[in-house]
Amino acid sequence: MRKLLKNYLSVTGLIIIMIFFLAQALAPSIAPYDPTMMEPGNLLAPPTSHNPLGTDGYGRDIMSRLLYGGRVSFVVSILSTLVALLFGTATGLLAGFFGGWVDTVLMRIMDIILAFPALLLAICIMAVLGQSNLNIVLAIGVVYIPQFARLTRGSVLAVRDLEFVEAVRALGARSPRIIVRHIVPNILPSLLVQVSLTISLAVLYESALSFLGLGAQPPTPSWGNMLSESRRYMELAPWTAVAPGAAIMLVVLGFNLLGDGLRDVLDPRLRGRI
Amino acid sequence: MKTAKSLAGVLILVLILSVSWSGQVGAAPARGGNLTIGVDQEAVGLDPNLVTAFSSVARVGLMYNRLVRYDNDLDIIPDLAESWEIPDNLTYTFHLRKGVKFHDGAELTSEDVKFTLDRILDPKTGSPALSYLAPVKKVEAPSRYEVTIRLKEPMASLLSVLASDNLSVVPKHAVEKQGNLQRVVVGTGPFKLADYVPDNYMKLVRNPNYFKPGEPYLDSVTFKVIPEQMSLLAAVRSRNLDMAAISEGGIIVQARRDSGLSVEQVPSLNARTFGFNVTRAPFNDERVRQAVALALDREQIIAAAEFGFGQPTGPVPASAKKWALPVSAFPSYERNIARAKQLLAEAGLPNGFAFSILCAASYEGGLPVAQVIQSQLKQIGVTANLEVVEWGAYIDRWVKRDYQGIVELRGGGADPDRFLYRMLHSTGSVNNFLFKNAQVDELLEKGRSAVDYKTRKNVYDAAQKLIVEKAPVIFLYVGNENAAMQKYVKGFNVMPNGALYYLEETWLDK
Repeated sequence: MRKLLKNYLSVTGLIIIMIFFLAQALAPSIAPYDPTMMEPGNLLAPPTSHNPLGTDGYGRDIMSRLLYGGRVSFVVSILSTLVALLFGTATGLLAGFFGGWVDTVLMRIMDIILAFPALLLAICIMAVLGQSNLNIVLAIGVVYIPQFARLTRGSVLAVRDLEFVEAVRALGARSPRIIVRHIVPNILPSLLVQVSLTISLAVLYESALSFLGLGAQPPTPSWGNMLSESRRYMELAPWTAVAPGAAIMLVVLGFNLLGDGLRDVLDPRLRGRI
Repeated sequence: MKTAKSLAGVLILVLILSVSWSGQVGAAPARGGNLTIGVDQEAVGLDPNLVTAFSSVARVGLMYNRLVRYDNDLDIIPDLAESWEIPDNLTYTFHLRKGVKFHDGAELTSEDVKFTLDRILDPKTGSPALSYLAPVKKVEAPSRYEVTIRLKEPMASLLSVLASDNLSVVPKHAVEKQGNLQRVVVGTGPFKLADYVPDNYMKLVRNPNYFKPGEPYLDSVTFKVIPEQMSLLAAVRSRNLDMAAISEGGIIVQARRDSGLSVEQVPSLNARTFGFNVTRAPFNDERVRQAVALALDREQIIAAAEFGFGQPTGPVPASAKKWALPVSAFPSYERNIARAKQLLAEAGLPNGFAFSILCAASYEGGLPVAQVIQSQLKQIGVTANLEVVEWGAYIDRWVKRDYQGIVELRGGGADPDRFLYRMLHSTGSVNNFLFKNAQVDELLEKGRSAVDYKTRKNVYDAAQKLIVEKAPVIFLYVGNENAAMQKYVKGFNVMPNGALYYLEETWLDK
């Protein structure tokens, strides 16, 4: 942990993430207005003290929408990463530990998922399941299962035949115990890095789906649908696009920096370098 | 500040228009050249008697002719018929132009006109124009250049109906050979179909035998489909398009700021509506519909959805000035939250209710309109959930009447019979509200069979007030028809119904 705090990349990332987390958690108390309130006489107002980030084409306060929109991004990206982590790690553990036909079947399924372009697959899943917040989580989650599965399987293969595992086995431990007590702790660091990177991608994909009209439905604000609406008046009111665009960029950057920092700290070969 | 800016914009526009106008005076139209026009939707079929999509109608209008047509003031002017007589209320005789040739060289005769009308009247054809022609008894072709239409009952809107692109005259020999004309074009119009790659482009070339001497001036017209409105404008700016038909107000503001382009806008005949399936609760209760109507603020909807380019309208599109009532004639157009809540309480819903509005993300699908309605209804305690569906699904559910509330863009007509009868008569073919009211039916029938303008005006005034009171559908506003063009495009007029007829008089000054 101390090493992590010395790594200025990950500290920057952590700060961005903390701001993001606090902003969305405190949205109801710090947002100046109701994010769905339309102020008819105040359409596309540029940033002023009244509306710190201006208003959109319906006269809604962009600052408030940005804060509330963060909640959608936050919840969806964390939950979908959890889905991917859970199913992906389980798949990878089983495939790596048992090998043989279990490995073949599971990993070919993962290959099939990987064969589809990620966004296309997410759109297809949304089209089949229908529009709901849970379905966005599932759609994005499913797309990232193979990443976790492959990573886990690789790590399991690397430690499965090490002497300490052989030793536990010789002492009579059964497979579930070996996996949970001795293998998982060894692959945890690399999973942590992957989680951080996946969250940043999930934020991007949630925005992309919302942008295409498949994510959060109006009037619920989300960064993606704010961007999508701003397309209509990008030239007249650039602030409508800049605010959600910058928010997405910063959060993605934050999680990427954290992920990179974590990897640097956890990987001894890279230690000392940027 | 904003008003000052837009005022300045208008002044600049006027200046630009006057400059280009004065440049046009005296200058004779130049022949030749290709005009590339950008549109946001691909045509769906090309048989003029069968098509329903706005995009198809606009294109067949360039390749075929009707007996009569509208000009840009919405007056009826001769087209294939040189003149006509109405000896009594039940008989219309049309004298055709002589020597008009179809694109394949055959001459147009009264037989083709009779064939076309009989084809539409045959229910097996499945023409959307069938219900327009319900009062027609018989079509006769007494001589080679004379057509007589006999009616069962008087029908004042007959000329207006005949001006519809769906009543374009098709050649008998070609239809008999081909079955239908969805894929081939054999018209009499100013342009012939040369090359068509669906979802990419459609190239029309000049018809050298067109019956108006010298016209069209252009050698060819190329349609390009660009679904995204902002991209349409970008393509005009980069000179990849000579002209683009643009629907969204926000994009038009951006086009107007560009001094290199000329922008033309006219009030549209197409009305934005918010309708209900009146057979489904809670909208089967008239009071609930009235309460919703009272909660809406049209100006606010126009400001947010159309950038202020539009005007509130009653059941007859406000742009059809001869028939439209001023909105002050409708008491419910004045927003009244207290009265709306009272009506809800009387209907047994003092705490409001929740329902869903069907809409789509395209311009026609009206998502921005639905969003403003949603926010306005919140103030009377009504929760509107938006069902934003893909365009195909939207049309499908529109046809099946599978919705509680729906935001639509309704294609209007200059004559109230054309617009209202189909939409609100209990037998109307596009009465998607499933609205049935004996009084409304009676008024619409009376308006259809009366001939004298004054009588009809009174009937339609009464009908409009009654329709607004019953509120099966809430008429919101009419927007604008817009075109953004290069400065060298001359002679084009935007028409209130979106038709592109004036391309035959368009020429390039470069």
